[in-house]
Amino acid sequence: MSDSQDKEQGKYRPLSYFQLMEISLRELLVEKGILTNAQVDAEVENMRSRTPERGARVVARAWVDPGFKTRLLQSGTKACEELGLDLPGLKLIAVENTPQVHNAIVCTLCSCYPRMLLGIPPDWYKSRNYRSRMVREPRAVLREFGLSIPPDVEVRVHDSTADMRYMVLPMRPAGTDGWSEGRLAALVSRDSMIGVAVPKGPND
Amino acid sequence: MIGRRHHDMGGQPGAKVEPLEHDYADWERRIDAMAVLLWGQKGTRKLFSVDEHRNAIESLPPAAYDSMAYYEKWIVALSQCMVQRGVVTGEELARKMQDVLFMRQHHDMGGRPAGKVEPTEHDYEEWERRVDALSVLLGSRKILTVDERRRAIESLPPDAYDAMSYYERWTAALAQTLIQRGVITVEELARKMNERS
Amino acid sequence: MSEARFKPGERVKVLKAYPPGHIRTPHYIRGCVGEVERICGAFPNPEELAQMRDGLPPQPLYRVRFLQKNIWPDYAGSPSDVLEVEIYQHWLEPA
Repeated sequence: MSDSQDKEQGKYRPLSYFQLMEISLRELLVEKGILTNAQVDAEVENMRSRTPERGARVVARAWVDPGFKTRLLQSGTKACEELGLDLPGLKLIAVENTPQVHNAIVCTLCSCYPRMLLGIPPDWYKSRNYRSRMVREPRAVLREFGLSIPPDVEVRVHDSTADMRYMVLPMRPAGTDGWSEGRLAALVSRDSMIGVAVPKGPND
Repeated sequence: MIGRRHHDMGGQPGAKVEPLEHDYADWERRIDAMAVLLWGQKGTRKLFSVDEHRNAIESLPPAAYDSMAYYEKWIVALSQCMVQRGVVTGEELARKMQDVLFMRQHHDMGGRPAGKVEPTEHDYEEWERRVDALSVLLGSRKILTVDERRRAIESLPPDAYDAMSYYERWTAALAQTLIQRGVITVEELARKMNERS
Repeated sequence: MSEARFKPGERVKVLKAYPPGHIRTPHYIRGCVGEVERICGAFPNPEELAQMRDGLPPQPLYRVRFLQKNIWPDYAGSPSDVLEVEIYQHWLEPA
C-alpha cells in the first residue's frame, strides 16, 4: 500500500480518523479471510481503468453507425458490450440530445453515475449545490458551466433515483464529416456525457 | 364613531369566568422564551419590539383571534414579525415547515436552495479508491448491499453528513454495515483502529 | 414479480407519503402528477434491501416524466422543460 510513499516524498501526514478506519476495516476483512489485499489492489486498478474515454468510444460509434445508435438508445448496456466493454451490473439508459432537447443527469439522493462505464464521478457532481439545484434551476446551473440553452430547446433533467444509470448521447459537432471514430471520440468530454457541456468542435 | 378593535375587549359583555388552568407544555414555554429573547429583554439583540408582536396579534381576523389558543397566537405573531423584519423570508419559513411536517431527510436535497456549483475535482487518493474497491468487492460477494450502505449514510446526523467528505461517509457507512451484518464486531474494529493508529 | 399496473403514456400521481427509512422517491416529487415514460423492469425493493431483507418480489420500476412547471411554482425555465424520475410502482397511483 502506498501510505509510506508520503514519507518518501516528504509529505508525511498523520492518518485521519477515516483513513485509519479504512485501513482497520480492510485488515479485519483480510484477517477473517473475506478478502485479500491483492483483490483490493486489483479492484482499485480495475476502477482506475474505467475512464470517460470508454463512453467517448460509445458516442463516436453511435455518431457513425445509425444501427448502433438505435440499439444504444433501446438497450444501453447491451449496445456498449458490443464494443467489448465490460459493464458488470450496469443498467444503462442513453438519452439523446437533439436540436429540440438537451439532456442532463443528476442524482439528488446520493451520487448514482454510470461508474462501470465512465469511472468515478467528479466532486462537483456529488456536491450539495449540484444535487440541490440541478432539478430545480437546470438552466442556471448549466450557465454556470458556461452552457446556455436557448429557450425553445427543452431542457430534460434525469434524476437517477433507482436502478438505472444514465449517459447523454451528445449531438455530433458540425464540420466532422468523414472523421474516423478515434478522432470523433477525442471531441467527447466526460462533462458532455453528463450534460453540463457539449462536445468540442473541429476547430476548438 | 371609531370602531372598537376586536382585541380591545374591556367593558364588553361576557360570560362566567371559568377558572381554567393548564400546565404549560414545553412548546408553549419555548415560544415564551423565544419571544423574550427576540424582544431583546435578556441582553440579547432586539430583533423587533413587543409592540410589533402585539400589533401582529391584534391584526388577526376576529374568528382566528377567538379560536386560537394563547401561544398559537404568539407563534403566528412571532413568525409575522420575523418575516416583516426580514429575519427570515416567507418562503424559507414555508419550506422549513414543510421539511419539519414531512420529515424530509437531510440527504434528500433535490430542489433545496444552494450556492454556485464549483467545478472542483481532485485526484482520488489511494485510500479513497480502496474504499470504493472494498464496497464493490463486498457487494459482488453479496456480503452487503449498496442499499444498506446508502441507508447508513442517510442515517448520519445532518452536521456530520455535511462536514464529512464523500469517502469519509462511505467509510463510516461501510463500518456500520459490516457491524450490522455481524461480519465484524464494534470491539474488533475499535481494537484494530487502536493498534493501527 | 409484482404485476405492472401502469403503461407508458399513462398519467400517474406520486403518493404524498413520508415514511422513515431509506426511500428512493425524492421528497420534492411527492404529490406531483406526471406521465409514465417507460417501464424499466422490476427490481428488489430498495426500502426492504436497506433493512437487510431480500426486497422480493421484485417491484416494477417506472420512469415518470414531469413538466418542471408542474413541480416548482416559480420555475424560471421554459414551459416545455421536463424532469424524469425513476419511481417504484408502490409510490404511484392513477392520476
